Formats: sequence, structure tokens, C-alpha cells
Amino acid sequence: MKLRYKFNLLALGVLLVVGIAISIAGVFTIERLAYSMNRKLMGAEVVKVLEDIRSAHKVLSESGVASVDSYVRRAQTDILDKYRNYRYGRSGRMLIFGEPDSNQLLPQLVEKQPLDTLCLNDIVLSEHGFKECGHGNRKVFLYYAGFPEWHWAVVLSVDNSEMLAERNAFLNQVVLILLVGLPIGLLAFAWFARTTVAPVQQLSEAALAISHGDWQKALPQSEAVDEVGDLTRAFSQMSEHLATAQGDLEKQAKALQNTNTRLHLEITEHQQAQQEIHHLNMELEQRVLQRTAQLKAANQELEAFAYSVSHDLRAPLRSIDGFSQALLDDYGERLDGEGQEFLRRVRGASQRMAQLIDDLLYLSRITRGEMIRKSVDLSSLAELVVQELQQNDPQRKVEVVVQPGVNAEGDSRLLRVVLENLLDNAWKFTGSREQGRIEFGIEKVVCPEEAGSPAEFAYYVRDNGAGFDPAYADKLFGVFQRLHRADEFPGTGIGLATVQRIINRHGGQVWANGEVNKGATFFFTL
Amino acid sequence: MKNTKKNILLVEDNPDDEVLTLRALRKNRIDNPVVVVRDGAEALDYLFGRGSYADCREAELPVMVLLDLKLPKIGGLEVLERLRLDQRTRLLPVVVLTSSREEQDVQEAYMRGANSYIRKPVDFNRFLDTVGQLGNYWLNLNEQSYS
Repeated sequence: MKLRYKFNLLALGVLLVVGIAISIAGVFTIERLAYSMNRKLMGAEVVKVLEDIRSAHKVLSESGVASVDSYVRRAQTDILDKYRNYRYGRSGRMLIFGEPDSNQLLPQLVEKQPLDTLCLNDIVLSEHGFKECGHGNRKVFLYYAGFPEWHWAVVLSVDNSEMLAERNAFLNQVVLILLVGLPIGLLAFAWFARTTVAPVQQLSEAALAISHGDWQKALPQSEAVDEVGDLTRAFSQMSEHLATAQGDLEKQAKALQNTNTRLHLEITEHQQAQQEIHHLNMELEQRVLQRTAQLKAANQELEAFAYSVSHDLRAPLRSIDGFSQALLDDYGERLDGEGQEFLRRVRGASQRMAQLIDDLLYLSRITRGEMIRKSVDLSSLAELVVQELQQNDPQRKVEVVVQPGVNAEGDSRLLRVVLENLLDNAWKFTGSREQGRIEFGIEKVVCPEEAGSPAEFAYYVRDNGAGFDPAYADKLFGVFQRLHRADEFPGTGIGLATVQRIINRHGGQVWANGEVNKGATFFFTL
Repeated sequence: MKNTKKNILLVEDNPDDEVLTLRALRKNRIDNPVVVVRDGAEALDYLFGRGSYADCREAELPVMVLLDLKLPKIGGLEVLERLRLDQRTRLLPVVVLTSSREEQDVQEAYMRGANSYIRKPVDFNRFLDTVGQLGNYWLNLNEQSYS
């Protein structure tokens, strides 16, 4: 049940209970007051009659005729006359009874009260008192007093209805007030409930709705200037602020969610990219492995080929040379000089071919073996090579200048091969000079035309020997390429090819400057 | 006189090389009988008296073996390995006589117990020298173990 109705009912109940209680109390009080007041008033009236009787009797007594019946009767008649038309209130009757047979003396027997005999039997003349008589609506109240000298009893009788007139009037008023006041009270409570309880209830409902997140619920409006009105307005204001704040919050949450979504998306993209990179890496690795395997296979094939060349190609050469020699030995006398010369040429050719094969194998071995890079003292290495050349050719007088302290990063075995070849060439091509001169060192160079990036410093081997035609400079480093006839300078044309292979393996460059008969300079970088 | 009549075992599959080697031995006046086998399996049969050589096992072990590396059926290196595993041929002088100068071959041969490794030169005159020195060393200078 709604608070409003409860409140109304409670108020109504309290009002009723209080009203009824007050009414009952009032009724009883007024009734009691009426009784007591009427009793006193009735007593006073009876006493007045009694005083009249007493003073009449006194006059008679003082005159000494108190026992004379005629005087007494006259006095009595005077009294009775005096009160013959007596009225007390609306229903009051003054009754006077006389002894010995309780004759009703007054009022004269126009209307004899049937009650009189009923109620006044036990009245003692010497006493006075108040008595209720009869039953139901026919009820009377009696005040009585006796005057024993005359054997009279004076009784004042008043109807019950008159006795309770005040009370009934009050009762009527109360009922009237209740009848009029109750609706007014109810209306007042209804108004109160509508103007105070209802807004509070609306507030509570709105608060409940808001607490459940329902911002659409209409907010209670109030024009009232009372505290509830203030509260309602304050609440509305607060709700609006809250709604705004909630709206802002929702916007922020939405923005946050958007950011989150974007971040999530970015992360996903990032992960995908990473996966792709991983995938590509794997693929690359796989490809590298494949290529490595292919290279390995190719290398093995090459090695097998080299082995085959070294072993199988030499065997026929041995036969050619061997059997040519056998012919010369066993049948030489049957051949003329020219025939013998032909056989010698066959032998020379086969031996040269054997040398070519050996050189080729050497070149391939240079390209294959593992490279160990470390600091190498090129100056010492050059000195060593020159010493060996001098030892093998002690008659030659060659001026050799080695710049001290020239170092390089590289494989010492391979760099030795480079110096051996370059110095050997220089030694060989200065053979025709009376005063040969060979220099080794490092110097700043103008980079060769074909070089992509200029080299600041280059190692060089310079000689004043036969030199070469610069037009053929690019052929210098080709395998089996020779710029001189074999009978001028011996060689297979493998030396510079080997040098170039080694320099390439070090990531460097090699080139040469020269002119015919003006010497040559070989440069290399590492 | 020692060794004069002892066999030399030549393991060679190339007939040209066989002829030239025999000629070189003759030219150097090395007159030991030369037994020629043409593959690794035959060489092992001869040395261990098996197969077609089962009957003539009585023959002594050769004074030395001239072993080519590249052989049909069983390669020279494997022949060498088997010889060194057998008690009878463990100390038999074996000279590897081959065309190859591959570092790996040289190393493998010595690891398996070759007594010498000689590369046949193309120049026949140098080959003559080589064979001469070889015969002189293994047949005259070197003291054999008579196990």
C-alpha cells in the first residue's frame, strides 16, 4: 500500500479515535455536570419551599397557634397557593404530599403521577435527598425533603430529558463538528499528501529510476515554495547535473572504447605484420638453406671435377709424354732430326698442359679454402719473398725497396700468395734490365677509372721492367691471359688471375698502370 | 744378396701406366719380378692368397706394393686400410703411386699407413728418376722387418 494512503488512513484513524474519545469524555462530563448542577438547583428550590413552610410554621408557633388546625390549615393553603403555578424549567413539577395517607396536595389532582406512589413510599420525612425514578425514556429525577411538623413532603420532579438536555445539545454539536470537521480534515490531509507526500514519493521513484540508470524518467516539477519544493528543485537540478555528467561520462567511455578498438586493431595489425615478417624470415631462411645446399652441392661437384681433372686428365698426358720418350729412346735412330724434334714438341706440349692443369687446380684451391682474417705485416712478408727470389736467382742484381711497417687485415697465407705473384712478376720482367728496381709500399692514389668508390690508400708493387701496353690492361688479370710471348717471359698466365681472386675474396680491388718498356705498377686495396 | 728375387706388386688399372711403370723399373735395372693386378679386389686376393690366387699362397709377400689410389671395385685407400688391419700385411711396405695431389688424398693415405706417397709426374724422364730413387730406397737402402 502506498505511503500516501497509509498516511491518510492513519491520520483519519487518529482523528476519529481522538474525536470520539473527546466526545465520549465530554458527554460524560457534561452529563455529570448537568446532574450535579440540577441537583443543587433542585435542592435550592426545595429548600426555598421548605423555608417558606418553616417560616409559616414559626409564625404560627410564635403566635401560639401552631396546634390550632384552622390556622395551620390557612397557613398550609397559603403555601400551596403560592406554589400552585410554580414552574421549574420545562418539565419541573413541585409536588407536595401530606400525611397521613400521602395525599398529593400539590398539584391538585388534575393529573396524578403514577410514579409518585412507586417512588415515594420509602421517603423518610426527616430526611432530604435526590433520587432517580422510572425506567426507559419515562424517567424522572426527584429532589425531596420532609417537614415532619406538618407531615409534609416536598418533591421537585424533573424529566430525564430535561436533565440531559445540555448533554444532548453537546452531543449534537460534537456530531455536527465531526461531520463537518472530518471531511475538512480529510481534505486537508489529502492536500498535504498531494503537496508533500506525493512529491517526496515522486522524488523517491525518480531517484530509484536514476539509480537503475533510467534518465528518461520525468523529473518531478514543483512550484511550491516550501521545503519539499526546494528539495524537489534541488533534486531536479542535481539530476540534471548528474544526467549531464553521466552524458559526459558516456561520451568519454565511448571515446575510450573507440580508442580501445583502434588500439586493438593496431595491435592486431602489428601482430599480423610480425607474423608476416616471421613468415618471410622463415621463408628467407628456408631459401638460404636451399641455396646453401645448392651451393654446397655445386662446390662438391666442382671439387669432384677438380679431382677428376687432376687425376684423369693427367694420365693421358703421362702416356703421351712417356711413349714419346719411349719412341725417342728405342727408335730414335730410325727417325731423322725433324722426326725427333716433333716428338720433343709433343712432349713439351703435354708437359705444358700438365702445368696448366696444375695451375688451374691451384687457382680453384685458392678460391675454396677457408679465410682467416688477422693483422698481417706485409713489409716482412715482402722481404721474405724477395729473399727467396734472390736465393733462387743469385746472379741477378735487383734493387729492392720495401717500405717498413706496412700492415694489412687479411689471410696471411693468401696475402703471401699475392705478394709472391706480384714480386715474382716484377722480378721476372726486370730480368732484361741492367739495374732492376722493385718497390713495395703503400701510397695515396687517384682511384682507377673503373673503380666505383675512390680508395684513399693502396698497396703497390712497382718495377722498372718490361711494362705493358695500357690498351690491354683489362686483360692482365684474365686466366691464361698473357701479354708477352712465352719465349720472352715464361709463365702460364695464372698468377695475376690468382691475385685478383684473392683480392676479390678480401673485398678489395686490384689494378695496374704501365707502359711498354717503362715498367709497371700494380695496386691493390683490401 | 737380399730381395733380388722377391716380387714387386704393382696395382694399376691403366695399361699405359702399367707399361710405362714397368719400363721405368727396367730402365732403372730393377729386375725383381713384377706382379701386376688391375683392381683393389685382385690385389687383396693376391696378398691374402684368395680367389684365383688360392693355389699359389706359398709365394712370399712382395718386397713392396706400388698402389694406385683410383682403382675399380675396391679403391686404393681401402686396400691400404685392409692391409694394415691384417697381421700378415701390417708391416708390408706400400708406396702410393698416383696422379692425384689432393691434400686430402695425401693425408688419408698416410693416416691409413702408407709408407710413401708419390705423384706420378707427366715428364717421363722425371718419372724415371722417381722410380729409380724409389727402387733404390725400398729395395737397397731400407732394412725390412722380417715379421
